[in-house]
Amino acid sequence: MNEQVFEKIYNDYSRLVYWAAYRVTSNREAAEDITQTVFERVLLNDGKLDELSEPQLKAWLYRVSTNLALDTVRKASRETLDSEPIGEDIADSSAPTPEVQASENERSSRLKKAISELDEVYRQVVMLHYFSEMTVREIADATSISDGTIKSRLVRARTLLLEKLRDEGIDNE
Amino acid sequence: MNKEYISDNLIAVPAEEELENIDALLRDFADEETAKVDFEAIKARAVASARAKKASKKKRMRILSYVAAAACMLFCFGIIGVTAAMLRSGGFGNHHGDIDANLNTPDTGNTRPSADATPEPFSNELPSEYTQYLYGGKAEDNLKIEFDALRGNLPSYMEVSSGNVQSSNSDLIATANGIDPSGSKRYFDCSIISEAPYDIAVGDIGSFAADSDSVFYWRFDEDKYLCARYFGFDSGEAEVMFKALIENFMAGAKK
Repeated sequence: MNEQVFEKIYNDYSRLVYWAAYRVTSNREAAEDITQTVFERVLLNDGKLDELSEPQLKAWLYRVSTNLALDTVRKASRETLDSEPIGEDIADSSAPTPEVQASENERSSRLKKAISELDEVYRQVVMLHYFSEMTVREIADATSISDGTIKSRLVRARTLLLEKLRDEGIDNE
Repeated sequence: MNKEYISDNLIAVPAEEELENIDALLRDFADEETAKVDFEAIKARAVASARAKKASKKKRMRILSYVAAAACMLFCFGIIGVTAAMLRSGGFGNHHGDIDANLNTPDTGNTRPSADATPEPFSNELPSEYTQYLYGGKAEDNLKIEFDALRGNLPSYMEVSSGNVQSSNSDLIATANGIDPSGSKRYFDCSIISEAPYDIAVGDIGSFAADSDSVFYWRFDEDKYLCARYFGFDSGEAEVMFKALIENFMAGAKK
């Protein structure tokens, strides 16, 4: 694959791939490894990806990333039966440590907590829309759910987050 | 606030402005979290790993191609070897050394001469034209066969039909016909030919026998063969007569 073409693909979609993997694994290190693996496959694909349109390429990247993430989670659950499952860094419901709280914006940490407390269907659309930067149409295609349902879930997710933030004492600042 | 039914619960939907604010908040938050990821390092690892895998694949393909080429060569050599062996086994066993060596009776299944050679006639009932059968080929101009000696080599009931004949191209040197005591026809002829249907080294003898018909070839020069045919004779008896014929021939050549 042409170096410039790869650079463009990487710059455009590395964020999507990373957060798609993170959404499943909830682990930064695993998400990084999966991102690396996905783009290795892009490089080793011998030009077959050149025939894909942009939406098709985006869908392919999302699918590969998600599948690799699911494999990672399954493998981890088999191999580490006695240890804790892959944690949810961003969805960690426990209170942040004092050190983390000091270094991070408080709003961010509370937002993290609020997102982690969402039901899975709402958390999914939030992660895909805001973190992976996928459009409503792309999320609908990727999840095989109608556009209308995705839209309403996004509205619902924002509403719930707003209520949670208000409850935490953080509102529209 | 606007009210809207969503599922079975009546909820209060925030105002548009509030939704826009949370939307912006989420985007900023997502960007902040994304900025914490070292995408350049991930890219570098991906590129390095892909290069290593490509190099490894090339090496594997190179080794496979060498193995395939070697296998192909071995296969070709094997085919050539088998073909050569089959061709060799298609002819007579050669006899090396002097004419006293035993004659081999070859496998009758593989003694048919080449396609353009005259087929060997084998029959007690020889058509009359066989008495005039000509092998063709070239005969030595001054070659002589002592027919008195030849007559002595053949049974008494065989009448030699030629006298001292100087051979010439495409002529038989000698023929003989007779009826044996049991009433069976016997036939003999000999000639000098330039090609034999079988691969025989100089000085060697080749033969073919089928029932009571025998044909002998003695290659006495690079392009000269003494060919003798004994039809109706026992093969062992024919062999003795042929050896005697060779001695006769050699004696005649010395003169």
